[in-house]
Amino acid sequence: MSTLDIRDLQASHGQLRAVHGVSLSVKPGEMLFVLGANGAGKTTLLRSIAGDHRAEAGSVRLSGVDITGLAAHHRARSGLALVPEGRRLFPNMTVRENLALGRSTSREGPWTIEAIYEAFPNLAKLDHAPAGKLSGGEQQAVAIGRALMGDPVAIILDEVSLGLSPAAVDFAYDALKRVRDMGIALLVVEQDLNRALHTADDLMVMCEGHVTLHATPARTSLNALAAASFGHDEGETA
Amino acid sequence: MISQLIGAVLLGGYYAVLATGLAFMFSVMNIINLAHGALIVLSAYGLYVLGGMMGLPIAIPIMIIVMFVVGLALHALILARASKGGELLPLLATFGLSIILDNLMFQVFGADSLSLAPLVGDLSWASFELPGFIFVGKLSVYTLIAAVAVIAGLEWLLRRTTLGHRIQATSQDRATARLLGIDTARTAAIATGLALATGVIAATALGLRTAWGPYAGSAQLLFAFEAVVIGGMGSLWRVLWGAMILALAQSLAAMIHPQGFLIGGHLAFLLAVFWRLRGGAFSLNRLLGREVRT
Repeated sequence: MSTLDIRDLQASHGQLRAVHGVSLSVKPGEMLFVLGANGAGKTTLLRSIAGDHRAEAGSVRLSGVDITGLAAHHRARSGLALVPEGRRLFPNMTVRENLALGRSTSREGPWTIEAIYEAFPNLAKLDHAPAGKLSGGEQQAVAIGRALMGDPVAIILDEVSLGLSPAAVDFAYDALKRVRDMGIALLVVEQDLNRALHTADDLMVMCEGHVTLHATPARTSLNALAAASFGHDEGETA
Repeated sequence: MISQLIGAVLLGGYYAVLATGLAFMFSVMNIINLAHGALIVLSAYGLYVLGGMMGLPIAIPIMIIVMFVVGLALHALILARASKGGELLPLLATFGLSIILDNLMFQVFGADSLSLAPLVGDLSWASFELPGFIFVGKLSVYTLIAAVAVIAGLEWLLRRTTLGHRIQATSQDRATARLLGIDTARTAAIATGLALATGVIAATALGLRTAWGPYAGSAQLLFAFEAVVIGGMGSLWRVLWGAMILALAQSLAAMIHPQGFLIGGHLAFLLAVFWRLRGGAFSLNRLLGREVRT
């Protein structure tokens, strides 16, 4: 059974439809990448799944339970975490306080602040540092740790590598692979097609709110992904 | 001169008690509660009625609980809806509420001036004698201590407790707070309840130091608002400094001219307004000296 199962999700910003009937599913321990150019509807899709944006139609199921009608905080308590674009830490609070806020889901699970520091050793020494003073890579680690603190079954990550140094991106993806190996379902939005092709278990490309390509990495190529990002068929020139 | 300075500092303690609830509400809910003064007066009437029956020491904790519940209801019925409509709507909604409260209190309690002073023996006029033949009112000293205690308590709550961190998260980034599983509506309602509960301490100070009538709320609101603007947001301790500066400005002006008291306070307030809004457009965040987080 899929951990996260989305059927025919539709979402709009006012008159503009941003997501046209998108379906996807992510199994436990699987990493699905959603790719696409700016304005393709990726972020709206993620926010609609997490309940931060109201979907017009479609369903969201988490571990088989329909959570479509739930408010965002109840979805989080059901085990669905979102790491938003730009990390959105609370800059005045310390790393420890940010991580502790992740516990607001009140879910049972293995994660404690000490377990996060074991998984991200570079955070341990920043325990009492204000989150706003951290580098982008450290902030991303805190954001992922904060999501884990809620003991989720699925984590959605928006623009993981945006604004990070290449070393920080490597570090973040190492962490995500370990999270995947624990059996958590991961839905990742990424701009870096090459990185996605080498990391994903499954790939989806969106353009203007539609899914233009859905394939496993073995069955697609960088060129096909790039073409689909702009709404072309493979081989067609722009 | 020293006596006046001490008096100003103690008066600042009273303004700080008035202003803390207002500042707390703005810092955690982004709402300027224009009914703050009327709610303090409402609490004072509650203290008068309950205090007459069972004495002030029992009436105060009961009223704190009552006003906390009133705060929960206020948030659910008015503020949660109004704050969806932008910056201006909560101002209008709470302004309307203050008018309704003022007139309801006039309807129920009439125009008589009431005081809590008879409930506490000689506390209202008793004083400590300091060396140099300086007398300071016991009540003013206790009010200042209460102000410091309320601010310290709220700061401790905000910075050291899980609830406080959830309140901060809700005020700074409501969408992200929700995504972490925080029930932001409930958290904001609790914050409103806390703000109104601190108003009971202000009402106690108001009722003991002066007599009040049903329309006394707007004057309390004005002093509270001036103290908040002069001090600025960021930490509730700044409210205490703002209140001190307001009281000092009033007292200094009163020394220069017998009628200068209010004018001195308003001048300090206007200077703070001009300084905060220098070289830019008006916004509540700028007026209250808060950095806008993006």
